[in-house]
Amino acid sequence: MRNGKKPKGIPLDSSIITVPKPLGSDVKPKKLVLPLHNRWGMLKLLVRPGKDVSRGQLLAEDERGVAPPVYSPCDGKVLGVRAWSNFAGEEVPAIILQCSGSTVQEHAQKDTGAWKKTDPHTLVKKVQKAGIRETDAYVWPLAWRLAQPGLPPTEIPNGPDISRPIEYLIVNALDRQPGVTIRESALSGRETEIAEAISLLEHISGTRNTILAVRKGQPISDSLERELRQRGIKVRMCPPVYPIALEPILVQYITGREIALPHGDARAVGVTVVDILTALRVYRSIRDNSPAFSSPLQLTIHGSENDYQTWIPEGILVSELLEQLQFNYSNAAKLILGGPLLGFAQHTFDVPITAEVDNIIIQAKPDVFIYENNSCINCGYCVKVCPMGLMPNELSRLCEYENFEAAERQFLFHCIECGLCAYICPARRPMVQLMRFGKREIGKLREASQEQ
Amino acid sequence: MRDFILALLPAVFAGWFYFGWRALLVLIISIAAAMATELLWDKLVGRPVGLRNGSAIFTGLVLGLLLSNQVPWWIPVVGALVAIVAGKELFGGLGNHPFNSSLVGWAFLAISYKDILENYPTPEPKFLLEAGEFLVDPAIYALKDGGVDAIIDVPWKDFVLGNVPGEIGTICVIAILLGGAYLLYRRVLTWHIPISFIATVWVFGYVTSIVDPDTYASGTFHVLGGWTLFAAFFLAPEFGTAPVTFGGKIAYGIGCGLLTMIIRIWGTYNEGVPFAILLMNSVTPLLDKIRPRVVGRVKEIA
Repeated sequence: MRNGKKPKGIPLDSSIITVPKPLGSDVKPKKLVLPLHNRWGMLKLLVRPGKDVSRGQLLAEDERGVAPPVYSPCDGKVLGVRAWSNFAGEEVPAIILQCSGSTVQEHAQKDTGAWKKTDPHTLVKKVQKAGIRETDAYVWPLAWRLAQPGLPPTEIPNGPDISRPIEYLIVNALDRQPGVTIRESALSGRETEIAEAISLLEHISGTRNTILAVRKGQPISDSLERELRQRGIKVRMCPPVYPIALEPILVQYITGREIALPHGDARAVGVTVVDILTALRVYRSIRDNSPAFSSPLQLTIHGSENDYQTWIPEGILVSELLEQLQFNYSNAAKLILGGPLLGFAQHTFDVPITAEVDNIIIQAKPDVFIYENNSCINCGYCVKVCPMGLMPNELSRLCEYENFEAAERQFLFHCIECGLCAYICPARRPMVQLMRFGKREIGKLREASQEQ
Repeated sequence: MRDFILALLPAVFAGWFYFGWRALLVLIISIAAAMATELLWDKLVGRPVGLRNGSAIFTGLVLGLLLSNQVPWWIPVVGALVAIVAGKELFGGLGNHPFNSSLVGWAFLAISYKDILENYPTPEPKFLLEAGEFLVDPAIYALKDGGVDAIIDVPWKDFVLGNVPGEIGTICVIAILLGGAYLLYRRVLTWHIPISFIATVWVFGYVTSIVDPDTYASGTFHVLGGWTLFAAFFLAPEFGTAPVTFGGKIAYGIGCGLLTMIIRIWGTYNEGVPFAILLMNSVTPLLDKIRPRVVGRVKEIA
């Protein structure tokens, strides 16, 4: 295995300890909001407003079979479908569910070994139907990244290309960003389950090299090491530098291969990356033969001594979650969904938490970082720290002056929005916001020119 | 900016140590004039008046450190005015000016008031040391006038401690290195420009001194004497005037070093460093085209 060089970035601080704070096993949220639109398009609604639904019922699916479908996490009624702001600030159509029963919290242990005898193609279809949304923005959803060549070709123009076999399967147990430690803490306490989950993925993807990527210096218990060794899973230590956990950087570090950007398809170089929590959710979904309803979440709340970790039903609103957990957020100054570096600031507490969100941060006034409307001072710190080798000073200026074509030529779409340039900028420029602005405007221009 | 000002404090102390309170007065006048000019400019263009980012203090301080302590009071005032207005604000403030602002002010003074500036007294150390006797003029001037013989006997100790005539801030090697080490430790400065600048000057001097030791001084002399070290840490890498990419920085440092030596050895001006840096500043946008390698670039398939 080729050893990549240590990526540019800032130290990955994993000293945050999270304390589990489970929701009650029969939590009854009043309302669940399930977005229907994602990066792969709109899902087709299968229920009518006003109809009653039962726990586990399929509510919306992708006709092309690419995007993960949406299931109802509880018994209840569909109140309606309307536009709702999702965690990224986009207004998307969403199903509003009124819950009358409790949401699924704990899975009953079912038959654990049956998947070994099932063939990978059937398992991949089950994964696709499980409705698993992931935190990282991969180019194709989970099932298509795990599918072996040989599945019937999809009839989608520009669909996923699964003709290349998966040579490396990397299970990512590295924390995505400093301060959010739910991936690392997932490794302790459930060693057999993790090893079985990784083996399941190995079986589905048909790969010969299965690697668990962990942080250098992270303690791995002996039992986990033993379980992994028994199943032939290699453990690879990665330098604790953010953004090692982001897909292009991780793939380059572990395998030496570069993903062709901006398309970003790791499968084209024979690599698939799945994060450890998704692996656990896949395993549980297949083991229990049920869709994946809940997703893990870390809560960083100003004023509490610890960070908390919980599993939430998808679609619960932040305001309701905080009520259920009895957190008082009346003096909150800022709400961030998605983490300190990769997240989005919100304008309301009534925003649904979906599986793409792994961390919510509630800041009080002294914590809030104020961006300033300064011009770039050309210090070059951002160039020094950008892990993708871009020149963020130029890109931010071009986006600011709305010279989008030049920004695209300077590889704006290679930006993975890691936030390091904003972190380091002495002039406190809103770097990531400018990059996102540039990308969205170019997207809109492309759409407009296609319509003509 | 605060880190840069802190890093200059050892040089300020050395200036006071060798040149007394008049040196501090020059510095204070220069800083005050720079701040006043910036405040006036902010008022004229309608910006909220304030300290902003401390860059006016830095420009004023650096300009003062590049002057002798014998200059009349109006020299730093005029110099600061030109440095802030023509060297910085007209182009849009910190980081947006193509030429190093302190050097713009200094170059204006050096060309307009050459004789007034070139008035370098011998240093009078406050305690512990005796005044350096080997040189009457600053090292590079002595080299140009008297040849290698004039400077061959100066002990390195004098250069290192700063016991030589010269400008307020550029004489004491230890003070400058302390400041430079602080900047590198704080990572506000990367090693590329200082090291490539100093190494080029040293290699050039070494090669010429081997070729003809009677005409050319050694590399170490050129590094320790004159402005080389001060410029390598505080003048050459100024934001906006130096390239931001790795390849650009190395090329810039090498270019500054080459031009410094060429002007020092074969040019008219005694101190080649300021003009070398100003010339390289004009090339910076071109050097910025030496870009870092972007991850995931797909070669175009025809």
